[in-house]
Amino acid sequence: MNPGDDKEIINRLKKLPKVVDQTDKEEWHSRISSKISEEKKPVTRRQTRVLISTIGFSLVAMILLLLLPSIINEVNPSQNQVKEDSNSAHHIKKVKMVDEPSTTNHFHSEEVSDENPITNPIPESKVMYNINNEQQIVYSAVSDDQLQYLIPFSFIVPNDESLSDYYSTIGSRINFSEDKLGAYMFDNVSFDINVDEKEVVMNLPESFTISDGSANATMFINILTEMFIPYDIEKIVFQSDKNQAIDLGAIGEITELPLIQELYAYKKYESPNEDKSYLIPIPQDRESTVDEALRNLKDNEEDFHVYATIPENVNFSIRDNHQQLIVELENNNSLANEEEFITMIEAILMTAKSYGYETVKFENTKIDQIGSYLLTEPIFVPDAVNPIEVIDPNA
Amino acid sequence: MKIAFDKIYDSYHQDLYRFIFYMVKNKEVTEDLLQEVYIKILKSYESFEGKSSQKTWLFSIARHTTIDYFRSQKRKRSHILNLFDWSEKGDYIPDENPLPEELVMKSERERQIYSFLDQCTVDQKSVLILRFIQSFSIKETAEILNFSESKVKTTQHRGLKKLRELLDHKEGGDLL
Repeated sequence: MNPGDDKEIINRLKKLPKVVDQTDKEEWHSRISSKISEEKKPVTRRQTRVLISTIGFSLVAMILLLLLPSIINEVNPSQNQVKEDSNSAHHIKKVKMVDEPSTTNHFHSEEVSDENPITNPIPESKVMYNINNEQQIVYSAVSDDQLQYLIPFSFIVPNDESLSDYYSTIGSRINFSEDKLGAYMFDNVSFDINVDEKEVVMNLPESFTISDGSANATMFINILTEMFIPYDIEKIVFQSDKNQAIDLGAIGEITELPLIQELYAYKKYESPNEDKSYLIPIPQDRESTVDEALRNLKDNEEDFHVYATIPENVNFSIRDNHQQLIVELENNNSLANEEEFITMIEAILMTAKSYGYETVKFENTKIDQIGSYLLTEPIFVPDAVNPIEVIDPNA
Repeated sequence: MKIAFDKIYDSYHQDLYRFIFYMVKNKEVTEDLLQEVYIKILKSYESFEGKSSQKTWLFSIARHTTIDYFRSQKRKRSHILNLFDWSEKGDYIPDENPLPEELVMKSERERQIYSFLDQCTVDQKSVLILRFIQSFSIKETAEILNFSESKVKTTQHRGLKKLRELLDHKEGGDLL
């Protein structure tokens, strides 16, 4: 075959048979109806949904203050804080969250606790940095309502408290609320986290089930990956009273689950049920480059409520220097909208992190600072996305 | 729900079935995945906002569902065997299924191209199926895959190149 002779191959593809489904239409309808009816039946585990920022705001803010009074100021410093990172071979300055009026997503201090978060004119950040050795981050996630995408969230807890306890009580610490985002999968599940062994033992109640379908199994795996990969956990071991194996439908029955880091581009998910958006990871091909991932940030997937984080008219080119990604912007005069600009910066930071970069330097930005970010300096990639409030379950 | 089901079935069922079948090449799996696609569609049918055409919406759900299936299979294989090096093979899903009856009577040339499709990446395979087996336009393919039109063209070019290399290698081997 001559090189470049695509027509011959296209003709062969076109000649492939029009495979036809022979199953009767009514049979299909009957199967699907019964499946949907099954799913509508009540299940034993509590069906809970994720929090809306506006509902329950005052309750959450109050409890957060009770639970973590000292953390708030450290997560949201009141003054510009730029410190030398002595561990960096390049002497890069680490930019922390600065000038955040304690509204890093849902975090609220006393000074702003009476403000309505919807009307607060200061844009929200959708990422979080852990800048204090006395605290640690809990990572978790829920599914969107179409089981297509994972919506991560995170919160900070004191370092001297048991991480396993926090992970085992996420369901009662977050104000999940019906009909907002997908259900939290791990109610009544406890986790024993052994960071040294790089292993988590997941203790499952008898009633624990995963609905049929590979989407549910994939979401189950993706959420566990989101929860524990940040701790370099390599595998989950399943335990239950009667049977150690867990039935993951399309994956089969397994007793252990190896966790694998995937590549992601971060876009914006606008919940159809609330006035709020989240940064969500969109899986990328393993062969993809960071450049391809960043270009994907310009595409909307409106039917799934997923939106671009880099505006269509903003162009850029990239290069890198070891662990630093350099993004040179063009046409960014149009980024007058501060929130849009911050979301773009944070989506690029998180995407760069997924591809192994530690810092991002923005060039040709027209302005020196946007929100909390000093654009004249390299910016460290964040530690987590979508920080939310937590509730003290004993309060 | 019956009205929505009828509408989707009458307009798109065979096309959706064919797309999923060529992606996974197993009729039982195709039926399971298509059932999953219908459930997702019918659950969110009311909330479909019509920002893209219904056709591209349905196919993008089918594609997401198929990719979820591939990921679950990848996990299953790595868990059970740990022999298959995915990092080198990328997203290549080896075909271990029997030929569908529709293909048994076809020539060796068609059977080869059917088999070699699995050695393309999932993206390349999706583009080739949508473009040349389903006869979608570049624009429709781009909408379904959430690619830019130029990315569809690039992926199509790479997929065709991959098939050409495989066929050249096979035909060269046969001559020896």
